[in-house]
Amino acid sequence: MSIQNKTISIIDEIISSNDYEHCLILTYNSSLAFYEKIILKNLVNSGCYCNAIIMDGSQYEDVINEEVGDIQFCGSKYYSLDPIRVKGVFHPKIILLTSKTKGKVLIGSGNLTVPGYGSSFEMFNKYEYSEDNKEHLPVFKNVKDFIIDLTKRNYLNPATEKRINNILNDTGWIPKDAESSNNLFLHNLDTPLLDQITKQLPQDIDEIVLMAPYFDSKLAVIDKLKKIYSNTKIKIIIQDHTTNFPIKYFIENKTSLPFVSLHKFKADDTSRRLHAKMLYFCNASHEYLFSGSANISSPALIKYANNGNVECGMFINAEKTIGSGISNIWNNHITKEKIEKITDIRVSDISKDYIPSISKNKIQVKGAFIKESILYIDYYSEAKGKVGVIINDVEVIKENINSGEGRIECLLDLTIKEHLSKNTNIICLKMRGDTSNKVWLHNYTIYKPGAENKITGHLNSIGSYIDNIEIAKSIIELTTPFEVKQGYENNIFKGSKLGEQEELEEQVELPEQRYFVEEKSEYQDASTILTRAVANDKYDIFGQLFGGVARQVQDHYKKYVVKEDVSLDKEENKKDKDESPGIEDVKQKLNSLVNRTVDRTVTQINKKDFKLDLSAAMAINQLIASLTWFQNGIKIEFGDEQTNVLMSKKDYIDSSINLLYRMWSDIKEGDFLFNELKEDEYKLISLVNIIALPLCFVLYSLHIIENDDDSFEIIEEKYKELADIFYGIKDFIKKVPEKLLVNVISTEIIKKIYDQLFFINNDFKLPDLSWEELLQEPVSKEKLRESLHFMALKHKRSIQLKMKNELLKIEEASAKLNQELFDNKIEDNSGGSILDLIISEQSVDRLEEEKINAEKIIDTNIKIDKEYGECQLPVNVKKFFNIKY
Amino acid sequence: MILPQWTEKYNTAQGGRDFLGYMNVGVIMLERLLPGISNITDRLRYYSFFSWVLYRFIKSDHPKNNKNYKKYLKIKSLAFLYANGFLHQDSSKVGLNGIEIFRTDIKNNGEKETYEWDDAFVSKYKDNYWIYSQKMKQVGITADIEGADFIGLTKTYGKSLAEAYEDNIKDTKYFKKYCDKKDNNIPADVLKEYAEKCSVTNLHISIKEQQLLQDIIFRPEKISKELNDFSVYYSDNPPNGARARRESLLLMLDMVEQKGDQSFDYEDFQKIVLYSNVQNLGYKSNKKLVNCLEYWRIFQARQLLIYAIESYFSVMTEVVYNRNIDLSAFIRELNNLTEDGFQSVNDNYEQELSIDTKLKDLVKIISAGKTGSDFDKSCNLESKINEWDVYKNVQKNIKSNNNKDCLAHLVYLLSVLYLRFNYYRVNNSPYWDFGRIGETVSLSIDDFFLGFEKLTDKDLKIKDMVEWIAKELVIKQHCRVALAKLSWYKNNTFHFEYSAGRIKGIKEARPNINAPKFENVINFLEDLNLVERRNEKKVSITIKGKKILNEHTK
Repeated sequence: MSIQNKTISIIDEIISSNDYEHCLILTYNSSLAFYEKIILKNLVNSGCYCNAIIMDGSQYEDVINEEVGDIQFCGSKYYSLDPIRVKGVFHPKIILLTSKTKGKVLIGSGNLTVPGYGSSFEMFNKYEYSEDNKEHLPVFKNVKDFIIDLTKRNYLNPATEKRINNILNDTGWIPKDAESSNNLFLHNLDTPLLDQITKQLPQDIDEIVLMAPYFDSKLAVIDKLKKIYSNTKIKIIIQDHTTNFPIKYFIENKTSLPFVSLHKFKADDTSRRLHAKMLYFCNASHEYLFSGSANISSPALIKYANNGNVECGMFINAEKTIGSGISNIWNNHITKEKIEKITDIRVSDISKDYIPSISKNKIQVKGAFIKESILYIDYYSEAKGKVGVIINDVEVIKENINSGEGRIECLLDLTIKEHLSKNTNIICLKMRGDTSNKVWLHNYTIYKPGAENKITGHLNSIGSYIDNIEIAKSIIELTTPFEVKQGYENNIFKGSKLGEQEELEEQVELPEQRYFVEEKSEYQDASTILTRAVANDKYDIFGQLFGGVARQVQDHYKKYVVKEDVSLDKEENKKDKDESPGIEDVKQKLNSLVNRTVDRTVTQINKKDFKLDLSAAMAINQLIASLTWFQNGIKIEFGDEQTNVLMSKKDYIDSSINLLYRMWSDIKEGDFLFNELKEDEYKLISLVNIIALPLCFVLYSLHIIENDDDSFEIIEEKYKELADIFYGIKDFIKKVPEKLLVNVISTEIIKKIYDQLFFINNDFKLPDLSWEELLQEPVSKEKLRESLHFMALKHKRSIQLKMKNELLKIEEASAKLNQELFDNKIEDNSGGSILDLIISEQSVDRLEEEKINAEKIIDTNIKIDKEYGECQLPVNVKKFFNIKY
Repeated sequence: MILPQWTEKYNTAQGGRDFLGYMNVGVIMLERLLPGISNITDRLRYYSFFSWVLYRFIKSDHPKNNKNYKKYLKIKSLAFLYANGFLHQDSSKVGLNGIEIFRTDIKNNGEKETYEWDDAFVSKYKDNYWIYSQKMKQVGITADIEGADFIGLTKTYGKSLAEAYEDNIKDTKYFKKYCDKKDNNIPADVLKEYAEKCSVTNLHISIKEQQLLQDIIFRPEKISKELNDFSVYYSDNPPNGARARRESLLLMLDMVEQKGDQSFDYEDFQKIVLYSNVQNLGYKSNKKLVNCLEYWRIFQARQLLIYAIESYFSVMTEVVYNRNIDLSAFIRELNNLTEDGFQSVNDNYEQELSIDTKLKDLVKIISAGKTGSDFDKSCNLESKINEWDVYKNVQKNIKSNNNKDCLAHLVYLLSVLYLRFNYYRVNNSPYWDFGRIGETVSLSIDDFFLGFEKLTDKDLKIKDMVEWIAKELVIKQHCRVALAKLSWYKNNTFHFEYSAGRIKGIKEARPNINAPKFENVINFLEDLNLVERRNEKKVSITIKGKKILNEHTK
């Protein structure tokens, strides 16, 4: 038991823990920016995917009002945050890390803040469980019971509830019954803590030591202890400056407190604030200690959950030993001198910690979450009527509600969706001028490690092919499964300490002359137009993605050509060639795509003056042609060398839109980066980006359609994704003109490009995405729904047609059977589906008609606009669709 | 049985100095005004020296990776330092990086016959290559090598420069016998002989090297695309860092010329930049350099703004040091101090400000009814309230810990800055792009004015402005930056903790301001024999300097 001098680093205890899957934190207040940047990031990256925080209700309101701009993930699939609103304050400080086979719990005094976990003097009790260490199971059992009890008594957001249930379900190793040891977890949900503590103590207590930062103004706890242990010495340890100890009251009432002495907290580092809380008792043979969340105050120790705070802590007892006892925890930190006068100690004002300030709104939001495309808002309202649902400060819809507690359910349609940001959203309700409290909207889905790896893996691999390390890094940064956005850090630290970072240490050996490089002239390095043109600018990652792939394919193509030239006639190579099944396809593909597109473009652009419109149009042309590579991903094999540039359309499109959206979201009109965009190459790349997105959309539509074997669920899921993509594009298109096009590029040019592109949509009966409509608010939602529905019908139809014969057969058989059984009394219970089929068939007819119309439109659009010179944009597009469809 | 444990302080490592994260924007702005030259690039000779080391390394048998290169470089850097050290050990300002290491060595161990630096010493020694390497790339001496992570020398400048340096030192014993030796045992007299050729102050002895460096830093704008990206400040086409650098150098050269025999230092430069458009300070702006002057002016304005906010930070850390109080009480205290400060400061300026003065009125009072450029014209070093004198008063009060007067002066300073520079913003001046650098995250001057204007529109008072600055621009920003530093570098730079509405002071701070590049530029001009120093404050233009100034500006 000689751990007196041992200290604990709470942050390291959490972030250095491996193999945990869940982390639940109970805290009074929190700094979510600290949590996200230091704690969560490490937890998620080490595989701890199910994270939740429960905190005090009034503090939650402070956080949502004050910290919101710095928070990126609250309510997202990475973690949930729920307030608990109680009479006093919700004050426990517990960190519970668990998995199916192990656990760690930290119970103490520190809140989820930088001081609480990182700088104040706090006290924590740490218990671990593993298959080899089952000693402390009773503590885990008691903590688990406490959490269950809490969740039963208080409203929790179902998204949080789900996480907690995950934790509870996965901790089957915690027994339902366990004998309590001499480490006892105490809480005050039913009984005041002081009563529980004194119940554990013998009557003959010789000394009491109390240490805490906060006390109530009448020293009620000391008063109560004095009554129980009338002649026992009580020492109180407080820290100069940081305590709110009622020194004036103490001095004035000193006569009634004859055995109570006041001492200063002693520590080497005076900058650290004493925030630990402790009650120590001893007699001749034993020592007892309670440490945890409870300050020496009436709401914490004398009252209980129903009329005071919610508190918890650990009670331990041990035989008294000389030199290594429990008392060593505090006796190195107490000054011998007593505080006798008011001026001996400087106290701070009464802490606002004890003045809960939960809004008492007429209408309150208890929690909000999204589950399976439905937005749920749990509320309490004093009156019934119409409420406005406000998401991120915008009133999105109106709903009727009843008085009392209730739940609003609304379909997460496109109107709502377009106001949702990807990670954090804040929601509140408004009724007749009364606005409710705010809450973070929660995602019911829990992050599953590895889910993003498919997409980000592809992007990262592409990033690794890009020459420019900075660009590659930025791609990787953007696509890392979980990475706290470092926007302002980048800004702040750029050029300072980063400059000192070690560079990559990869060994390269080149001929000497390679180390002497030519001064680069403009556009000299043109192995791909995009890679070059966008070098050093983060806004053109899309171009980089494309450029990286293009370069990779091109390099391999060159290798292949070289190989072929040198050794094609050799028998063994011929044999290899013959045995390589995909090689002809590869050759053909490369010839038709790479040679025809990238190389040619580069050559042309190098030869010509770089005039905006022409070159932009050419680049667009090439991009469009090259996008076909993503139709099924690119998978190329070169004899024994295999190169995978495998990226499905969905991955590509999702990621691209996501990246682009984020890039454009960052740009503010008028900032200096925006002005850089006025340069020609930025115009070019911006155009490429703009043009590529709707194409992505169309390609993705194809991707949905091409798979006939999909189940209805998958189809529906795909439509949801499509709608997301559509809205991403829509937002993007809306943003870009505002910020760039109107000022920089002729709107007319863009309009023409869009006109040319969106004719394609007629093929699928998508809404008429005219330029004007795209910019309208609200965008033609009905049209979109209609067309999406139509597309769905088309899918269903293909499946239904297959089913039709089967159904008819069944009906026939059924009719036959019924006829036999019921003597010609046929009960048709399949009429509905037949009717559906008839409707579907009508739809199909309509589709055919529309397809013919679309083809007409395609033909009329083949004509090349003069403005694009040699650009064969519509031809390429048409070719692509002809091939594909 | 498990006992409770005291918690440890997480990462006690200190570090950094930009505690609000605002100063770095100053660095970025300077990067745009003088790309390729920084506060740490003290002498032009380093560009040729580092080029030469890279050149030798490329030609050597050493495997070409950064790790090997750094080790190789350090030995060469130490020889360069010690050689220069012997020559300049008694000079106060020569721009020799690491001179203190040399001096300490001499002081502790006396002068040795031979110098051999052990591995521990070598690995501990930090040269400034990390900063020069970035700058060398910016000016076009080095460039990335396609397909490799190792840096290459450009043929036109880098390689030629290295060869010129080598040509200059080729007859030294150091070059002939020691520079490629595997051990690093070098006699002192060899280093001293080497110093005659490689001194940071005698670039003039190598005409070719000097000419190349002049070509590099005054180069025309048609240069590598990569060089443009981080160094653009002109909105005309094509943007180019070379132009910014050349014009900034010419601007300073022009000022030196016009100042003639009068003293000229950074303070003079700042005053000319701030006031030469409204007051005759012995400098008439050159038409070809007027754009450049405007950008410098905006830069100086932001410097003063950030100094003001840093001063708030300084006062706040002092007021809250070692205390733990409610934020609202703390803000009240700040305002009370400001009010007390007005009692004495108002008299100086013949004004009657109080914390309850509405911002609208504050602007009216300070401007005496003048707006925009009219106010600008009326505001000069002779007027009662001008930002330079107010700034100096803030500095003085910070030094003497006179918090109340400091806070009151800060209100004056911010008001004058707003009145003098906001019209760039309101009138959408083409130069104002520069004022937008930093955005909200790092407090661009534009963003500050916007915030100030919002408060004014809401009919708020000086005390509300103090609250806004304290809460939003200082407390939140400091916590944000400190958290980022903790997360990134594991450095604990918190000067106060803010949690649950309470603020706890940990340590005090002093305001910082980006050190100017002025001295470095003068050093560079001196190295190129374009100016000569008479004494610390007096610099005069040379015939060669006049010639180059005429070539570019007349």
